[in-house]
Amino acid sequence: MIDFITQMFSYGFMVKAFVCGICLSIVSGLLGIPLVFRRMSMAGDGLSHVGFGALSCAAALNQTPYVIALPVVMAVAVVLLFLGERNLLRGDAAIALLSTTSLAVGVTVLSLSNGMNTEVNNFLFGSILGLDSDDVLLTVVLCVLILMLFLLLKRNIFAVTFDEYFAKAAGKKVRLIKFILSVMTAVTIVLGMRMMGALLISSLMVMPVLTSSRLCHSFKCLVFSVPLISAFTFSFGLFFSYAADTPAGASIVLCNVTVLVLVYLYASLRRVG
Amino acid sequence: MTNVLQVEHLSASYNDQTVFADVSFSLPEAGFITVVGPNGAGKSTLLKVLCGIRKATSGRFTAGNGKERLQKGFLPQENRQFQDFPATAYEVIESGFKDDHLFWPFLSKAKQQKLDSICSFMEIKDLLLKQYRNLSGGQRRKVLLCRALCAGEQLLLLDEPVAGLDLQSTDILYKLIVRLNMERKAAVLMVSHDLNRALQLPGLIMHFDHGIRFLGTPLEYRKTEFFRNEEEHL
Repeated sequence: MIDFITQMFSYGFMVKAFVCGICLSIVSGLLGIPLVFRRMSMAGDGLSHVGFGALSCAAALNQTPYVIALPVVMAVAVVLLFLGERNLLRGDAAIALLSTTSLAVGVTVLSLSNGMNTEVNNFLFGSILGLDSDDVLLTVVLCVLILMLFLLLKRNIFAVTFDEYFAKAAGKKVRLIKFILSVMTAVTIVLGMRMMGALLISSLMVMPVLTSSRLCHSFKCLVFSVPLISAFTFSFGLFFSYAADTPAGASIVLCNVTVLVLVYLYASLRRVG
Repeated sequence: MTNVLQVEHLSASYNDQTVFADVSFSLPEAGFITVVGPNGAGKSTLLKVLCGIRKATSGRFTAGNGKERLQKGFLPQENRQFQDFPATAYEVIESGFKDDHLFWPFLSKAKQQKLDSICSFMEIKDLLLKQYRNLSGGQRRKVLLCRALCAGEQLLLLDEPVAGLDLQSTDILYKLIVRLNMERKAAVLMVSHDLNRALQLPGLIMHFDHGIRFLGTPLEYRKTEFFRNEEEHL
């Protein structure tokens, strides 16, 4: 076992993937808490599709992926937020519209520029081989920043998630808090897409939260356990993917589902017993 | 006696339709006004406007003595809170406090003490560590009332605090609200559907139907046609 792990980490790309993945799984789990409980789980998925469109355009224009994808996804996240607020477009309809449009734009741009090839596959399902040292540094720095912001805003995030209406009446800066959350979510999704893939990244935001909410009795416990569960399922998924030679993103998702099902079973059994 | 709430010619509309127009009244310190009236008369909208959740189309209102803005304690109507959210009663109550600073996650000592005093007054100390989602309807309302007190104790805006509760819980909650008003000098503006109970409460009755139709004592209210109409519907 130890030999296996040492061997795994003798590859530079595995170390990079592990470092990035741990950071990303921690912050995406945390940011998933407001998403899941505000009934916006699919927003993460919608944004990752936008990310796919943006990455495709970046590839076609021979640009660094993040330079285009980060601002585009952040802008869309903020627009979505305000569309929802003004009831201009219902949340789930807006996301369905956005996801499919971005997917179509991405695929069209890619096929026009250099034909559909491995790139599409990598964007959609992720690849841990594509990370270079700059990516790792950027990911770690941004994730630490997001983590700090989240913890500082913890009480406000709770208030807005639990009862936005009341938070507004109590004079909290609800719009600002929602804006910061949107931007942080967009950044996390763009960073995570390269590794997890556009189709799978949103699961990192939803599943650990569902798992933890079955086990936790308080928000404090949630904030503590979500990153732990998320980091654990990520590590296990990555090991599995290395051992069984399966795609990393998909393995991590399956690992998350397994833990989720086990926890639900445990919780139901305990209730019956 | 100074007023904690002064409303002048307030109007609000929704999709170009007037919800209420030209509403003026004042609520003195430790005053108590119960708002009654038919469904869809704009009672809840009035509270929402006063809380800052919705914008007024014209008119103005001031909470406090004009120099300092008074924080309001709001108890929302339906359960807009997410029922499956894992949170303890303590966490819910604590979220009522406005932060000294947006990026400061800790509660000051003074606020901690205030929370303690509110919880002992409301007799919910034994619930604090329980999960909010597992509490009964009456207990939840109590918790939400505590949260409102944390947000602002001098002016309480309560939107049907007893809706959906059984008789016993209703009694307990009404008694607490009256005690808050009498003992802690909280000014209360409360929307109620329960006409008979409303008439037994202290303070004034406001009959609201797209505007103020009547504002006076329960005794005077009994003599009006509004009361007779309402009573027929009961």
